[in-house]
Amino acid sequence: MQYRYDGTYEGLLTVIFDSYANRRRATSITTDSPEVQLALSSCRTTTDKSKADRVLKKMKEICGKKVSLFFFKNFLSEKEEREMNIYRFIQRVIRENKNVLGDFRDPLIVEMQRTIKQVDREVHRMHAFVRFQETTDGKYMALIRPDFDVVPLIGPHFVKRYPGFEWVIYDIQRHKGIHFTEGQLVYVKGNALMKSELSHDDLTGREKAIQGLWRTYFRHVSIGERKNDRLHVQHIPKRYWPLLTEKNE
Amino acid sequence: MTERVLEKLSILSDAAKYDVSCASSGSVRKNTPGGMGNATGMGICHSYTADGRCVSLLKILLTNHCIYDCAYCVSRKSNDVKRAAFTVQEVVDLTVEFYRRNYIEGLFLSSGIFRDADYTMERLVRIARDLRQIHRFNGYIHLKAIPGASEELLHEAGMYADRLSVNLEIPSEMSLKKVAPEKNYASVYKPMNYLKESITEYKAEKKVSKKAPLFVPGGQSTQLVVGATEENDFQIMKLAGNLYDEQKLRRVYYSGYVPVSNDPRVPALGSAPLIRENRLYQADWLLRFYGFTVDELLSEDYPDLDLDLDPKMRYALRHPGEFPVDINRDPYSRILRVPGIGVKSAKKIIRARKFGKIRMEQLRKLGIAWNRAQYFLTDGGVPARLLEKDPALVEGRFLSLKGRTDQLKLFA
Repeated sequence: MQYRYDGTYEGLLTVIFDSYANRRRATSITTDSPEVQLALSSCRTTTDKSKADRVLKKMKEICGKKVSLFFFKNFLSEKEEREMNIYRFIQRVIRENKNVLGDFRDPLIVEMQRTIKQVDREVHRMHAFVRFQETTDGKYMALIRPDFDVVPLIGPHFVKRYPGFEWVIYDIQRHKGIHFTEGQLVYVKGNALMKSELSHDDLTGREKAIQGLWRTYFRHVSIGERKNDRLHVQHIPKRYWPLLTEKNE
Repeated sequence: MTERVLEKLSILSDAAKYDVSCASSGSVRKNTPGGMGNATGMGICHSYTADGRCVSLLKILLTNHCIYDCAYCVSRKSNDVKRAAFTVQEVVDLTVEFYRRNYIEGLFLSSGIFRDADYTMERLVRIARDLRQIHRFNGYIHLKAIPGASEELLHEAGMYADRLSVNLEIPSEMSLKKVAPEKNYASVYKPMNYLKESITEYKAEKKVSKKAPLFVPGGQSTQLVVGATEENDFQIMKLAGNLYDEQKLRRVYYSGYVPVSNDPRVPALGSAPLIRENRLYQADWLLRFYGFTVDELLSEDYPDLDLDLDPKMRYALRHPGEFPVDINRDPYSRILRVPGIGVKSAKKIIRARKFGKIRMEQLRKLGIAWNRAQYFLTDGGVPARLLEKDPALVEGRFLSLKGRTDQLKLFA
């Protein structure tokens, strides 16, 4: 049977819960969109957090706590097969009633673990490539454009590191972000306060001076005799350049 | 921050860049109330230079004025370069402002020796102290321990720094005396030994009481310049092995000598020996994470690492009797010895085989470097190919395949 859901993580888990409750196996799980044809057998699932929680609870009982991040990161990868991968994984766990997270003989698990690695790497990149800019309204703004939807994963790192001032990290492609203010981390979506671009006039004088210093530093730490463009691009792929202070004069 | 700081930053980052250490890992330091920053143990490279090296720390010299005249060093007294010196406040401000914007993990501060060792060390310590106490900065701080500085100053440095390093620079004392007449090994080992003992004491204390203060939690490191003097790889790795085992260093860095000098005491190299440097790092990794000893990799008969083959591959080809390794039966330590299998893959294999027998085709997909690993493995059924007949055959096959892909890369 073909299932459709609202595109949320809880929605996906609800679908999986229903497929077991109704004993009707999923042949596809897709998100609502105008382009998706209303196939006869497809049913639009109503997201139910308590059902989602029950799926997670059961999985944690069998596979241990780590399994929820395993699912969530696969979900955030936005890969086309993510829903069916999670579903197939759950099927195998239910069938064998054991923790199979480490069974690297299984191509499904190899693929899902690879996705975890990719998502983790993107999280690590965001820890590295976020560049805060001091704006005239007293905030520190960072614009990002990650490969996966990692905004829900990067908050804790920055909260621990920068608890002393107000900051925003905003995904300009997905129009969502996190806003740290008065000791609280708030998730924001398509907020009018957020900008997808910062102009020269948005920045404080001090900000411009510091950026100048950082660019100077970046230029001077390179050793000309060792120049290696291939290695450089391998470490900082070009798609990240537009939002990196040091790569823009 | 003014034009003057901009100029100082240019000069003093230029002068600091030949120290290749940039790690911000291996130290865990939590943020404190009202403070900024932390060290997570992981280390983060916030950017990469045009030569592909990690930019993790603000790496600068406090000054490039120096009373010494070491031939390999760009800041040597006799070299005609522009000189500059930061004030304590300037370094503190730069660190805080860069850190706040998430440009860096912290500060790596070194210095030329001006006036004397204590005078220099005192200023390095003051910067670290201001950062920790006034700004409650909990990011990463790496300071140079200046040979000849008093134990009191070294101790205080250790209370603020995540890592301290004294550079040996030249891999034998005989060569060191030739290129740096004012230096000797004893002066370098003295602070290293003092710090080693203090670190051990504080670690013991920390085990008893969680409230014991941190003392250089990221440990000590050092740098060896490669190619400026005549030591072979066997001598260099012997020294490194000794530094890890006896001095308890966390890292030894190898810096392929970049000709910064037309000083007749050092050779005029066309370019930095980058491949050799890379091989030394690979060998270093084999010592630290793969359970190899120096004597397994190098000897009087084979005193240099192979430039064409990585040291693990070379080892395997020289010891065909140790292979093939059975991925389903052999212990972790043996699987780790297979070329093309890293620590992560070896752990995956151990995890996966608990679920049942791993077949070759499953292994291929697991993320190992099959082009190297294939000659050294068996799954119990399929025997390793070629190796038992003739290691030279494997080497030839591997090198010709490698040559072909290298060429393709060149023309890509």
